[in-house]
Amino acid sequence: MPDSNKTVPSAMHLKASSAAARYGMGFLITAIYAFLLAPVLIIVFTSFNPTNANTFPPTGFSLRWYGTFLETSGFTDAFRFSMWLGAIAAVGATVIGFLSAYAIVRFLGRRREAGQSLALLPVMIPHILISISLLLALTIVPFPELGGLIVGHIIICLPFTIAGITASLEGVDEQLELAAMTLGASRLRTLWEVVIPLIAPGLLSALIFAFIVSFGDVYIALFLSGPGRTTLPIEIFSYMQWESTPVVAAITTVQILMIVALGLVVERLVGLRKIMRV
Amino acid sequence: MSAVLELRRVLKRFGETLGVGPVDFEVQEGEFLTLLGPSGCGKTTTLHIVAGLLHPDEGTVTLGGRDITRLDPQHRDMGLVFQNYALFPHKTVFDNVAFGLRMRKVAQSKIRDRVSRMLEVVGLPGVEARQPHQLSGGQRQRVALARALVIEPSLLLLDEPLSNLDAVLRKRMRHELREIQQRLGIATVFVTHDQDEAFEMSDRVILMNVGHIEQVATPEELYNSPTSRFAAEFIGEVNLIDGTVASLIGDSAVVEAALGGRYAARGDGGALGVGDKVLLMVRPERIGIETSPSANGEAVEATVANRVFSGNTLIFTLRTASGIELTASKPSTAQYRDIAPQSTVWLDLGDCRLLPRET
Repeated sequence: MPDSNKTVPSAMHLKASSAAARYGMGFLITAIYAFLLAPVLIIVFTSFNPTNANTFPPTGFSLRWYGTFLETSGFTDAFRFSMWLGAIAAVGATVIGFLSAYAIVRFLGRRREAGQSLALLPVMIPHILISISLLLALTIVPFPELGGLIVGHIIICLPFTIAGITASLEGVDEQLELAAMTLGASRLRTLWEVVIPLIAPGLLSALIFAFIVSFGDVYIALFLSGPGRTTLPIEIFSYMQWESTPVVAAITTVQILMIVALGLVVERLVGLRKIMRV
Repeated sequence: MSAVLELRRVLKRFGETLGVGPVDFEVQEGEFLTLLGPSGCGKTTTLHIVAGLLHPDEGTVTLGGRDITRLDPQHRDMGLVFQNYALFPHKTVFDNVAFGLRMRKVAQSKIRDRVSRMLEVVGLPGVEARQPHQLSGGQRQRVALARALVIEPSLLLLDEPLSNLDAVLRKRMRHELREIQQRLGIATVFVTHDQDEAFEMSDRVILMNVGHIEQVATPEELYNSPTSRFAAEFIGEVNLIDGTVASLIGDSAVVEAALGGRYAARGDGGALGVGDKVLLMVRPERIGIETSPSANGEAVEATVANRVFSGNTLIFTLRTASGIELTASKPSTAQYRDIAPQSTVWLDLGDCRLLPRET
């Protein structure tokens, strides 16, 4: 405390300093959020520019760049391809992630920590290295390029699905599974009848999360997407090398809206999970 | 009577440590058999081996004459009630109880009948549509029992099913559980650490300790004729007095006791020789207390060191001339209420049991 000649700080003094601390903290948090969200807001505003220039603040209000996005087949094709790829990668990563998470939680026993760390390894490896490795692998193994892209996306999504589903599975009492088995259910039937319904919210949020990860990927697609099969980020990337119009801002805004909507769904599901646990 | 379930030389290790075994026992038709013992004695491990949730390292398990040692739990035809009931939280009571029947591909119309009939048997008619979390602990317990029984298993397994209930409910459920078991005539293996539960419900009790079977007996035999120090001390209160075998007559022995005097004791004297160190066991309620020396002069003189009133009984702590403390419990009638602390009394040890002295 600055005024050290006061041996007993008065209640008023304490109150004042704690209020100051609270305001200081509030300001700091606001500043951090502003810093994080400002680029996003700038992009959203820029997308409504009526002119060719990426000016901020926008010089007017127009939806022409959204129209341009929908009329440019390069962008809409890439968008559709990214959606398709995201869906396949999400389903693949969730199915494999569920099986891995189940094995980690139920069968690894004391080696569980090691198993979990190993499963999370792809987050630590730069994605560009995974991409190059897959590209090299494709020169050795005769495998369609599209397959390489899907595998790459499943690899980068897996750590997220495994981590999320492991957390959900930890909330499932093993005795429920044992009970199902003593009542005549096989292991597979037990998974279907007991485990999957109980972790359904966790599975759905893993699915959505994996979709978002796949949709936003640049590095894997950079090496593994061929002509006619460009993902949206790559299409935007190559467009921006030659031109710069607010159409990119418009596309980005659409993506942001999509991700926010999916994020809200996950939020609801995570809340739901608490109710489901009883 | 024939055995429904038989365990022969069953042994299970967990890494280096022995989980259970080797154990041998069988369950007769319609019998209520209890596995009793302190925590860690291997009783739950044994039950899990019976249910197929664990596979033993050695030995065989047979059900109705068929070897099921390696059979998966789903093919075993047993109903298991878990300590925490393990009801499926996302299914209604009906779907919980119907689960085993659905797995057995019973026709839908029959399932409805059998579920509602079984819910009546366990005293919970008409709760089919409820969710497990809407039920009280006692009700969940009954649903779990119904779920295990509705498949008409050849064996019912109960893993400490009463330990999560409050004291009053627990006592009531003991009788109800036993009554349902007898009505259905189903062979049952019950696991508990609670001696009162074991005694009130069982036809036979298997007392277990650190992975092996200590004694197999009816509740009465177990209480009156324990064969080991562990059995004597685990069940009820007991006085154990050091002694030396003076002479042997068949299964009985005359023992020179540390508190002075010789006492006849029954027990497994066959393995003993004259001069062996043994223990004499006397239950507190079997010790006779007299305020005057008996005519034959066999009674032991003692001082009342302490007297505790606990409702219907008085518990005396008695110190003999040789410094040995004995506990006696007597009905709190006028006859015993008048025995004041520090007064001198004469004790009749009555029927003593002979126990081997373990080192």
